[in-house]
Order: sequence, then C-alpha cells, then structure tokens
Amino acid sequence: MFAAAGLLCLSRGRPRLAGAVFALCICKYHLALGFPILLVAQKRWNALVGGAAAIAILLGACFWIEGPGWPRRYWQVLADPAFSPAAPRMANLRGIAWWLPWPTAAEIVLAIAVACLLWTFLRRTTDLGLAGAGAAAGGLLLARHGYAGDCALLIPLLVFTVQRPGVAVWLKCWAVLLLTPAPLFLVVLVANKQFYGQLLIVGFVVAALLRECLVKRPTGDPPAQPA
Amino acid sequence: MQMASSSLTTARARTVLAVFACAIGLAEYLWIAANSSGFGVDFNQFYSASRLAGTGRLYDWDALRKIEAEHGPPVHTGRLPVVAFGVKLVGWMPYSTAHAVWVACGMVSFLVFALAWPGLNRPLMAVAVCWSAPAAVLFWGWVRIPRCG
Repeated sequence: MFAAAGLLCLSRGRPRLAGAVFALCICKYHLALGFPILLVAQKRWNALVGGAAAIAILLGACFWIEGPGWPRRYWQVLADPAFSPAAPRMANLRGIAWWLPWPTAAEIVLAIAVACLLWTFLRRTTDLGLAGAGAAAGGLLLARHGYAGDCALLIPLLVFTVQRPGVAVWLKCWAVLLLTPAPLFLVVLVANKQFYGQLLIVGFVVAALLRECLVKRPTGDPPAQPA
Repeated sequence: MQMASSSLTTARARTVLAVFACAIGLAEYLWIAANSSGFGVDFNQFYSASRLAGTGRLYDWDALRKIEAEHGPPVHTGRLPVVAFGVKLVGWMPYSTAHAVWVACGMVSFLVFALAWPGLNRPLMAVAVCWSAPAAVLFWGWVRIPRCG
C-alpha cells in the first residue's frame, strides 16, 4: 500500500512526500529493496532525500522505544535459524539458491545479476507505474525472507504484462498462469518439487524485466525523468 | 452514433466479465478461508510484540513466546521496534476485536494498492487481486491440504 501511495505521490509531482511514504515500507523493509534502487536509478534525488530523512526519524524512534541495545538484540533474532526455517519454500533467490551447490555463493551471484538487471530496467523505463511494478517484483526476489503471501507484490507486474500491447503472447500466458493459485501450490505444497514453482515465479520476473531491457524504445519516447 | 453504442456495449460486456471473474476469485478466497490452518498466526505475532514494544524486551524470545501462546503457536518476530510500537494502535483492544480491525485495515490497504498504483488497468487489477492466492494467504493463512509427494 505504501509503495502504491509513494508512486502516486511521485506521479503527482510530490517527490519529498513520496520519499516519506516509501519510508513507511520499513514495516517490511526486506521486501522493499527495489524502491531505493528505483529512486537512485531514475535520479529522483528529492524523493531519496525525503525517504532518507523519514528513515532516519523512524530509526531514531526505534532507539527511543527499545533503548540503545536493540540493534544487537535484533541482529541475534535475524541470525537465529528458527527465524527463517523454510528457505526451500521461499519464492525468491534464496529459495532457488537453496537447491544449488554452495547456496550462499549462488545467492550472492544471482542477487548481483538481478540487481544489475533491475537497474538497467529502471534506467530504461519511462512509465512510472511499470518501473514501480518492476521494483516491487525485484525486491521480492532480492529479499532474504519471504513466503507465499509476499508474492502479492508480483500483482502489478503481472497486470502490466497482461495489459500492455506488444508483449509476447507467451509472456502474457505466463503472467496469467501466475495469477492463478497453481505456482503457489507448487511452491508450498508439493514436497521436493518447490524448485519448479520458484523457477516459475523468479523466471517470470527475470523474463519480464529482460524483455523491457531488450525491447527497442520508440523514437521520441523520452528517457525516465525525475518527478 | 452506432460506433458509440457499440463501444458502450463492449465496455459493459467487459465490466460484466470483470465482475464475474472477481466473483470466481472471491469464491477461491472463501474456500481458502474455510480451509485455513494458519489464520491469524502473523497477527498474533504483531499483537504480542506490540505488548513488549517499549519495555526493552521486544526481542526476548521467552517473553514473546509466553504472550503469543495465549492465542496460537508462537513464532519469532522480525519487526523493527517502531513497527511493533505502531501496532499498539490496536494492541490495547481485546484480541478478537483487534484482529478484526487488522483484517479490515488489510483489506483497505489492498484496495488502496489496487486503486493507487499508477497506470494499471483498474478492472484487470481488481480481477488480479480477487484471484491472487498470495493475497488470500495474507488474510487467511495457508490451506489445510495434505502435502503431496
């Protein structure tokens, strides 16, 4: 919701307010990694300043609420294996890497590749809604903690893929398939076959972003402009 | 004139189709709600963590587990202190009332998500949200189907 509201503020020429609204994504910050990448890639400095200021205030409030020792205690919780017990059922790069040899190294390599792809996509995309959809989907992939419900972040990218003219039919069909419950059932319920569900979800995001990067921009289409 | 009438008919047909598709999706939601096994697990975590926020014991697993056990299976919380503190807005209410308010707020936030995102085709977005299994999982928890394989 905060991501959508932030994009709306950006589209209406209120970048500082947009940044502050984006900062409220702190409630699930691990899924929102795509939005700071969006703001930097599209040189939306005013929004970035607004967001940074709001984040600083929110982090300051954390110290006021829980005292100076909270980051250490918080880190201990995050480092506890019981905090993320089901990596093979996560529809993100961590989930994919879990099945591969040297999972940590594989995850780092995949994350760098996806971050570069997202950056290129965001540099090329002029449509703010589509850029936000890509940032949300990219953030989902880069997150180290995310389960079935978090895949709701894919909805805008799926809808854009279906509604936009010129998108290949196979990609639209892939998007429609992901709008059905099938992939999530595969990720969550079918033991030892979760990899295929993860591949279906992660593969779609990569294919959709790659398609936007490879497609020729029509002449006269302006580059991405900050609000 | 004829063209205008034809486009109006097409628009109406699309609306009817979108409403029909939304209804099917919502039926899926209801099915998940009826078979849900994890209803409120996440909310229990937020509610309990809000009780501890501001005491310096937010990440004390023993304290959190004890409070969470009153309403369901305990799970770790990974929320920042400012977020857990914010949940105090509903944390003062009795559990079931707070949960109902939480679900209602979740639905409103999904509505904002669907309506505010720039550039999206609204009827298509409505269908997508109604069909979204992840959205259903967020509201109702996961379904109680035996694992295959």
